[in-house]
Amino acid sequence: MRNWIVNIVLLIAVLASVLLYSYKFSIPDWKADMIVSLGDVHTFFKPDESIQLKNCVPIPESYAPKNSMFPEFVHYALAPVRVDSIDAGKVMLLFPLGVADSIVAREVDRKEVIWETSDDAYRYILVQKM
Amino acid sequence: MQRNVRTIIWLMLLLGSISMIYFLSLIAHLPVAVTVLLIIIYGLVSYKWLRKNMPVSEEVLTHKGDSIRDYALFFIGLLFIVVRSYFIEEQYGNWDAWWLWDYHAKYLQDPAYWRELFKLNDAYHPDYPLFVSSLIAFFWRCIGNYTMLVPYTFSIIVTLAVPAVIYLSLYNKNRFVAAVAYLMLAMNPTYLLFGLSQYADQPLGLMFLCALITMEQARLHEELVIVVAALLGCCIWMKNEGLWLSLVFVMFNARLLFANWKRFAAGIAFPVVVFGFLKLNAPANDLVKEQGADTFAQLFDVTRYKLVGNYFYTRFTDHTLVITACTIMYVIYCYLTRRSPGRNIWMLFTCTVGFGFVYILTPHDLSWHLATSFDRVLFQLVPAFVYVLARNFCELRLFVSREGFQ
Repeated sequence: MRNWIVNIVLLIAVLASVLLYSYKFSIPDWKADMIVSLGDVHTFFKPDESIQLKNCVPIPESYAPKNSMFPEFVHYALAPVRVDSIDAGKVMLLFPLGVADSIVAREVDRKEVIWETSDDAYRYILVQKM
Repeated sequence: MQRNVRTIIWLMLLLGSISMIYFLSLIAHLPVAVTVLLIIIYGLVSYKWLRKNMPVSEEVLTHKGDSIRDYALFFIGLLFIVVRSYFIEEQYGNWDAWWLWDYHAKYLQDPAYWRELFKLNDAYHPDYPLFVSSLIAFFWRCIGNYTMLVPYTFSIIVTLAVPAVIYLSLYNKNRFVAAVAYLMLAMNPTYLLFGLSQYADQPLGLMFLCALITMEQARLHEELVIVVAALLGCCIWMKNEGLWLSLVFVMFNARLLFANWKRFAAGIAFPVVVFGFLKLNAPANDLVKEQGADTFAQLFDVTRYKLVGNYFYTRFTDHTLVITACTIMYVIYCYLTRRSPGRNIWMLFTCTVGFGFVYILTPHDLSWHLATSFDRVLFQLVPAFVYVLARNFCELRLFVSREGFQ
């Protein structure tokens, strides 16, 4: 088979896949497969905080509660992956307590901190997106 | 060897070098522009070297005109993967993709704080080799944001390349067998799932497959030992399992590799240095450091063997039934005709048994460990299994002529 034809076909296949991927996920995240574990996330926040999370990273339900070795697995899964779109322009950042302050400072750098709290495992920081 | 296969091998080596050069540039505090320059130089030199020293095989040069069917089949296989991927892909890949590989990449894209990666607790596996993470980090740093297009593009390249390499390597030998192997893999739903998961397992499978194919060429052109060694080095830099695969590979090809030990050392030195630096800085692997007094007892625990054996049986029949059936058929054929199944089959069998013993000796809960990793570990070897079996069937010429269905 001719070298250049095969190369072009492979290149087109890669480009087509990337375009389809971009198209599929150009829809706002929370309409796609993102809100797998919204309930789990809500349990981390005190109910009286009344923060409306519209979007979070997916956490397969099957991993968290059934995994007896790491009962806190679901917590790890969140951090410090961004959990965003709480309200227009606000971003929730979650960090495990073990993460160095320098990392936290870098992530929060130049953002306006709206609210901050922590529990035994995590530091939660709500910031205004710049 | 087909020119296209050579191009894909070069591309994989280039991606490996990007990952390693970027990681070393973090250590050396090099500006990203210098890193890019080094990568471009490596890419040009390695491409020129491969063109000169990895010749197109006689079979390809003397091959008669290609049929339109060859192109059509090739196109259909790729089209199937592209269309199917649209429906099954997830934005962030599966669990380990965003929780481990992309997460590590977030540290590595930062020239100031990247060493914090090694301070993470064990649940984040900071000891894992960084091929995928460092590669993603390099592009994220160049682009300036955490776009998920980077890990996705890498995963789709690998997913398309594995069946393509198998088909392009074999269709000159027997078109029917090459087509069956190609479509069997391209249309395997589990293969696509793992390919698009954005894990490091499928790239490891492709890298190992490239090493196998290059090794066949190296028997005729010994200077290619350096490429085999570099590909094995990339396997080591890809995943911890890559170390085991590479050791077994070297064991089964020791005569040629050690006869050309200078070339072998030259090819593997760079990845080993990078891997060594990682291991010096990272904490010990959880499977190693949690071994204790129970380890020896586990070796004689029959129930563990039963559980692992059961997993082997169910997974081989669930996901790779055709491949398993072909392997058994081939082994029976070899037994009846009193011929050896061949070095590569024994090598892959040894790799599989070695993975089995990792599970036997795991300090974690065995059921959990099997449930969370066995499938994808199995699929690290599937590309090589498909290639080796198809290669052997090509030589048997049991069912169809060399011209296949032309």
